[in-house]
Amino acid sequence: MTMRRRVHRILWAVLAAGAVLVASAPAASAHGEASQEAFLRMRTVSWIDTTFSATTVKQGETFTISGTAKILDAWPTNLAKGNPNTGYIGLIAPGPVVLLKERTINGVSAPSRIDVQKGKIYEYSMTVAGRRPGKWHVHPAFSVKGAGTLLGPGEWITVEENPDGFDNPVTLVSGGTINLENYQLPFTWIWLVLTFLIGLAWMIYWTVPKRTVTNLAVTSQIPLNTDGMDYGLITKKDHRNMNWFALGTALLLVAGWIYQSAAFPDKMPQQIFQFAPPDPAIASAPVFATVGLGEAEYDSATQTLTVQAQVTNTGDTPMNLTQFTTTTLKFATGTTPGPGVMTVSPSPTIAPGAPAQVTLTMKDPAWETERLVPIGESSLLITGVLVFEAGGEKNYTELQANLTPRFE
Amino acid sequence: MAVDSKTLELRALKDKQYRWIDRKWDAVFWITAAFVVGAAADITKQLFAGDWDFWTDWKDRQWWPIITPFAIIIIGSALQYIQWLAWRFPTGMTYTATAMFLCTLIGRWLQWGAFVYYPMNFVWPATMVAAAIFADWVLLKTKSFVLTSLIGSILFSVTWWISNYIPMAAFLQPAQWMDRVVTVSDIQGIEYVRSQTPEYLRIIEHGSLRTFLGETQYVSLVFGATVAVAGYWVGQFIGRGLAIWPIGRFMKKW
Amino acid sequence: MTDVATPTTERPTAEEPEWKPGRGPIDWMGGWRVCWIGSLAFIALALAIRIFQQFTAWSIGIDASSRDFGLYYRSLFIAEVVGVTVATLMWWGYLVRRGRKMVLKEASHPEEVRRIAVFWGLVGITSVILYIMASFWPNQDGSWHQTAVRDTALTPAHIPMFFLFFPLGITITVGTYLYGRYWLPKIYGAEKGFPWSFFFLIAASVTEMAQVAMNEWGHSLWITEEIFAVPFHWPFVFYGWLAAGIFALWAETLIRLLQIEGEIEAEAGQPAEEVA
Repeated sequence: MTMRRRVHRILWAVLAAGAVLVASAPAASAHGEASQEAFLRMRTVSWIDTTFSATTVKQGETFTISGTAKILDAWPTNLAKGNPNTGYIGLIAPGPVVLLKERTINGVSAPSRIDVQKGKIYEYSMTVAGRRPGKWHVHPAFSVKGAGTLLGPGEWITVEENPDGFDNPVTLVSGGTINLENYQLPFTWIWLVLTFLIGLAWMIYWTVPKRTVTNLAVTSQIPLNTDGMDYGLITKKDHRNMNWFALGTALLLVAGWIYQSAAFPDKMPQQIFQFAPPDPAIASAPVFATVGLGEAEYDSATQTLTVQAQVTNTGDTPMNLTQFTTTTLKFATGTTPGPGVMTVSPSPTIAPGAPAQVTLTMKDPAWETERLVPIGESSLLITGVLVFEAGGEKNYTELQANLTPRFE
Repeated sequence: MAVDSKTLELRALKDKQYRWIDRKWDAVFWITAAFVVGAAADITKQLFAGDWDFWTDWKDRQWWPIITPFAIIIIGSALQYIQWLAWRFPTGMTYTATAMFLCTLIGRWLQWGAFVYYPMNFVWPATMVAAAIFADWVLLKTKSFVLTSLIGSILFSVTWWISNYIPMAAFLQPAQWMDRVVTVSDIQGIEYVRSQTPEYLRIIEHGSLRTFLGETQYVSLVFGATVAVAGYWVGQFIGRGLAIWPIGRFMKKW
Repeated sequence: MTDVATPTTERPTAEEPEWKPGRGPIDWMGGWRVCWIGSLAFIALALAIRIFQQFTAWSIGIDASSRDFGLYYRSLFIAEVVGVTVATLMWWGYLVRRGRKMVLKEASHPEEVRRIAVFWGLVGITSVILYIMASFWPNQDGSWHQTAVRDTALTPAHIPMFFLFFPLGITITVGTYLYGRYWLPKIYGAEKGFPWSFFFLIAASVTEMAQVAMNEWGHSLWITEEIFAVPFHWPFVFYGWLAAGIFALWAETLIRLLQIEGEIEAEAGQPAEEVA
């Protein structure tokens, strides 16, 4: 009994340890992006002005996700060999709970993958339809070949059941509309099940009327390349019946082939599109803002990130620093510190001429809940995009700041 | 013609009734073995050719016919050897095909359909059964594994492709979408969001400067058939080396 | 109906059990009970977890850094690992302790037949567990990881697959060997050495478990995109092929079964009775 008691004690100890391990952070609202290294999330793709046109739709109803994604010049050398060249702007969702119906990148229709480059800007707009009723966290995402998928800011989308029903119509070039939700499903099932039943019939033929395991007594005594006809293992009747099976299967395939040729005379191979979208207007906007390498500090007691950087206005008119954005976080310039707010001192307005030293303060629990403070990672770097506005023009200027960790 | 005593003895042995060996042994063997056989065939298919099997927009005419027959013939070939050797049944390939179909169907419907909600007309699995019938039929006729590996594998690959092109055809129809003409399967691939499988991951026909007047399909089928012959012998190694060779063999005591 | 064999060796014979009607060596509720009950039990376990996932995976399981994930999934992981370890050690321990006594007694023919049926039952359970670990969960794994961000090694798809059923593969293959070694000494007795059939089968389950580590490394550092047919997945297939050793188990025991029939015939001096 001592052994059993010991086992019980160990079990309880493990359970208690497990419970301690288990009681930690907030409820699930993310998609696992928190597990990606912070410094990599920040220095790969920045998301500016991500907008969801609606957060509640019915099945079949559409909403739009739009914004600007920039592949940063700071893109690290260890991802995609430092040279991102193929990308895909898409969605992160818990499965096909929504459907991607339309996508434009820099104003042109973009059905699938695009040529990408470090430093380029992509103004995307995706039309998304609700499909599966429920509440889902949906993000825009930028996948880069050889690197992986970078997630933008997400939003809770509620898809309500549509009392009129839901389908997904697609227009064929030959005319006619099909419902992609169940097109050809009955035929596909029938075909798969029918071929399966033929196989099952073949197996039943051999295993039900004939014994199996007892055959070993005979087969172990005859050569491998004989069918044992002399001993009744395989009979002439078996040969004939199997010929009928093979013939029947062949006829079924012929019938199937004739069916598909007649029913679907126009066919083509799957299509590949890859092109470089044109540059957006902002790519050729006059550059008036430059930012030097910054210094950052993070205070975990107040959950505040402070960045000091030198900003230079090389234009003619004063420029305003309106926001800082990094991966899924956006901080708009404001005066009252708080989540989503960046206070700029001495002032967010920077006069043209001499470089100005600015201090950016961002107090937000999201730094920790999103695990974006790279302490413990192999690069102590904060990266993001500062948005400057002057004379109706915008500059998306990259900011990199070395983070000084505090080890107390 | 006089029949020798050995033949009479074996005939009697074939029909001999036993004290403790009844049909339940057969039933237990066929039913329990189906799980491991179907699973072995399924995992081989999934990890060698899975992506092509999961999605309609991957079922192209260049890679799908080369990779899949190789992947799926392996376990069937091993079972052909075992079931012919042990029972003289030409059933190994068909047994594997039917068991694998059930495993794949359960997996596809329960996981891809009911868990992640992809429509089944997007994620339907390719079938191996018709191809398997012909491979088993060739073994029955030739009684030779060498001939089955050649004739059977070729018939297997071509039949496999025909039996799966028939349900696939509808999804290769051109459709109007996003200012382009694409196939129905392409639309499925983009609209039904696959968050971690961006479209550029597709390993499908991209085009080349050598397609022999558009005969990509046939070049792939022929090559796929020869690769299937190699797969057949991988399966023979598994059957002979790993399933049959160990019978009654022991390592020295340790 | 029991058949008492006359022992021809000097080893003491195990007491001849009186089997209740319908619970004989080859009755469904007799020798075959282990087969169907055990198989159904593991299928039920897999389905229970699957049902749990249906209600929790997409709301809780997608974010490993969340508290709910810890409560529902990390705890499941811990329960699985602890549970399977304890159950395995207890079962193997029982097999060894009881087996050492069983092996000293000669079994009668009907008893040996019953044990072979139980052995086939254990092999059947092995087959079912191999199905669950190599087909049931991998299908889900593909569907999950091609859809959700792979955040840690403990995703809802990995937890029942890698950390419950993969270890169970080791549990059942080694346990089946222990049963064979002690309960069927004429086939798998220790004095014969270690059977190659079991070596391949057990090696399959152990190497599959080890491959999990390479899999996680490969996903994090080698190929970070979610194609299923990637090279670092292929060892799962190669190691799985080793499970072909399971066929040798059926063959080895079937050969012994035919030998038993021969021995019964020889003892009786006449052909064996017809089985209905």
